[in-house]
Amino acid sequence: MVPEQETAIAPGKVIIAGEHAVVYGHIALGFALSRRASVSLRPGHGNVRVHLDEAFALQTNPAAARGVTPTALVHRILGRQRNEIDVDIDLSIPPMSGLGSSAAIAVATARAFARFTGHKTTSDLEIFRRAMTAEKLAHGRPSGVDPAIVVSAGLVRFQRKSGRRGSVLARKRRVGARPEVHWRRIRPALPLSFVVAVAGHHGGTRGAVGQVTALHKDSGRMTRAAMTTLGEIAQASCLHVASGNIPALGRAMNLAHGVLLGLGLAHESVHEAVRIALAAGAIGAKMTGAGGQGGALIALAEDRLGAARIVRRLQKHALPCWAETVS
Amino acid sequence: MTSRIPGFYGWSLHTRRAHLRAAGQLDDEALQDLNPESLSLDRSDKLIENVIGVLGLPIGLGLNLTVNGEDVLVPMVVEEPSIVAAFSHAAKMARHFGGVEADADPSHMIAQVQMSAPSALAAREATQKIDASRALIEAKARSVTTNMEARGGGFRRLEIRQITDPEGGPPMVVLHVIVDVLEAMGANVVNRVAEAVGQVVQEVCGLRVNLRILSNLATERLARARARIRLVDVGGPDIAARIADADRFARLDPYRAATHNKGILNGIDAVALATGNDWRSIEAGAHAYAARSGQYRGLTRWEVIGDHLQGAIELPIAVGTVGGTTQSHPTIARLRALMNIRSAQHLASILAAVGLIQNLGALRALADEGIQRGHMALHARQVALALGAQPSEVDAVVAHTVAARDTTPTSVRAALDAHRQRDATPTPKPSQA
Repeated sequence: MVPEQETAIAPGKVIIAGEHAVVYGHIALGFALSRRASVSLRPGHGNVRVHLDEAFALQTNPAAARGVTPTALVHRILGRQRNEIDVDIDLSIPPMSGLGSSAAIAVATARAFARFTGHKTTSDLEIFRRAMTAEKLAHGRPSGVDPAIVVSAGLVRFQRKSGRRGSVLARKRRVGARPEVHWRRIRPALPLSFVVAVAGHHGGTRGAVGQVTALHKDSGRMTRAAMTTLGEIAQASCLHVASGNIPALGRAMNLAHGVLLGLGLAHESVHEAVRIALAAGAIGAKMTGAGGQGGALIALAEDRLGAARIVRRLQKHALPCWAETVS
Repeated sequence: MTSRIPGFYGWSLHTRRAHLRAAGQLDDEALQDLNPESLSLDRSDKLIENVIGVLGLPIGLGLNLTVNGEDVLVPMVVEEPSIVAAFSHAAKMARHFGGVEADADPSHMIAQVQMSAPSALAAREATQKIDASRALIEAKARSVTTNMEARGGGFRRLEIRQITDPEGGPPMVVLHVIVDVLEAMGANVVNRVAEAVGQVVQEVCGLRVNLRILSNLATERLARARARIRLVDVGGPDIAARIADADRFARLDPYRAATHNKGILNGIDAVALATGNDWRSIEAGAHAYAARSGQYRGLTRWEVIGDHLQGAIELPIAVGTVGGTTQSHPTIARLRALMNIRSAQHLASILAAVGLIQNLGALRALADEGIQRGHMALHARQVALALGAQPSEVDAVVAHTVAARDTTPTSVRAALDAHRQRDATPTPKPSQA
């Protein structure tokens, strides 16, 4: 029996700490957004339609869209059946902002496809693996943090350990040098109020990545230490979240922003928005995400009213943003 | 325009109206709509059933309120004296730190679909069947909210609950459909969703669906506000401490909490009524939310922090800017325009701010002189009017009774008689003020 239509929804993600460093085996901390990708599959002829929330349609610079298209992502997951299925994607996550739009599309597609092909229950790990194949298209060398958060749909501590050092699990499964990922959900001791905003001009990080390369040539040890610092910040952030120490979490985020800024990984417009958020009373604020395009920031507020205040201030500067609560 | 209008309280009604006209807030036509006869008998006959008349209520203007850095004039429709005055007084105290900070959730309402199951096992099975049919249920819900979907609202998510009966009755399975009703209060669309979904749910799980209706405990539609007040503005550290202690009393004791929350709703209901919203649903939601821990508690939290008093409130507020009487009643349309309401969320956040400020006003009066003294003048005014005093006589009579600290009808009658005698015999002595 061929099903009429299968729809699945997956959230976007935002990184609180550990972007970039996560690729080097350090910890990352992030959570699933309230904004989502909804993917519907039905029998058809390989058409993919994307409907984008109007608020963000204006933000997308066509010149920056030379990255991976949703069609390529979706088709990678559908495999051989790509030409027998029509796909509708509804996206309320700003695309190409490091907020996990590609992971959300990949996970939602994998879930809908599993059901479409008659698999009623598919484990999160299996969905993660399928999404990872698509992530490789989008990111080249993905850490896996994006699909891990998206699949878990919560606050997640993530680490990718090199398989060579090898966990027991890796040896048992004989996956050899393949990296092994570990993630688990964390429960915050207090509800956390964040603001997520999009500020960057997409495609503006090409020069910035050049700066990292140059820094690395200056001193490899120096840049590695910076990455270790980012990892330590993420580890500390996990503790602060679990113990509900909001001021400490804010300080950790501020430090991470400073390090990322120094590495040339924060776009100028994002840095400007971070300053606006702090002036509006944010406890901490930093650029977020490592997507090649950059452009988003995350601010920590004392509570939901504080988050609403930061949203109002950022909106005055015409920056698309919204509040998120993690509890 | 600024909500700070010094002297407004002492002006005559006509001067107040003239001021608002001069300030460009209400033109002649708008003022006409604020007159008692603005809701005609014919119109009222179309609002409800068995109409035999129209009841008038005064519209007072709450002053001095700032919400999120913007001044708001707050029309309050209420028959109880001293609410508007206490509100304006308290709102002024909060101005030093920029007024009240407030925010409201998106307009997410809950539709309930309820079933009773013959056994716990049957309830579990029904829950699983409903869970497996989420897509079908969602599609049905979306099919009746297409208009809302087009504007960015509509279906949001499903929650399935199992409820056991401690008295041993059959367990229940309750499906919650969460719908974003955007600018509406949402009762109609939510009930439509509940009814449409109910049919599907019954087919899917085999249990007979009983109730299908919205919940007034709108926990997905909370509004919250916070204000800081300098200790000097509230009357000193002693009064601030007494306010915080009184607030703690309301958190600990349901007898006090009922009165405490009534004071909050004095303000919220008055503005809800002025803006044509269903204040009974706000009342129901507020009281249910106050009891969410299992004990009925006060809805606020006031604390002395360093050199200021800080207060916060959170409660469900389901209000709309479209539908209901919000557009069909001429007075209500004018009052909404006066408030410059931008959206349902904006109105809900103002209402949360009003509740917090009204509460501060009440606690301030209680902690300081006691409510009776503050009420005395306003009470004397009502008694004098009831005894047939002319508006021109009231001020003098009230001044006399308050000075004598006795507002019993006998005393007011005596004061009124004395005043009339003084007026009748021309004496050069000015009356006491």
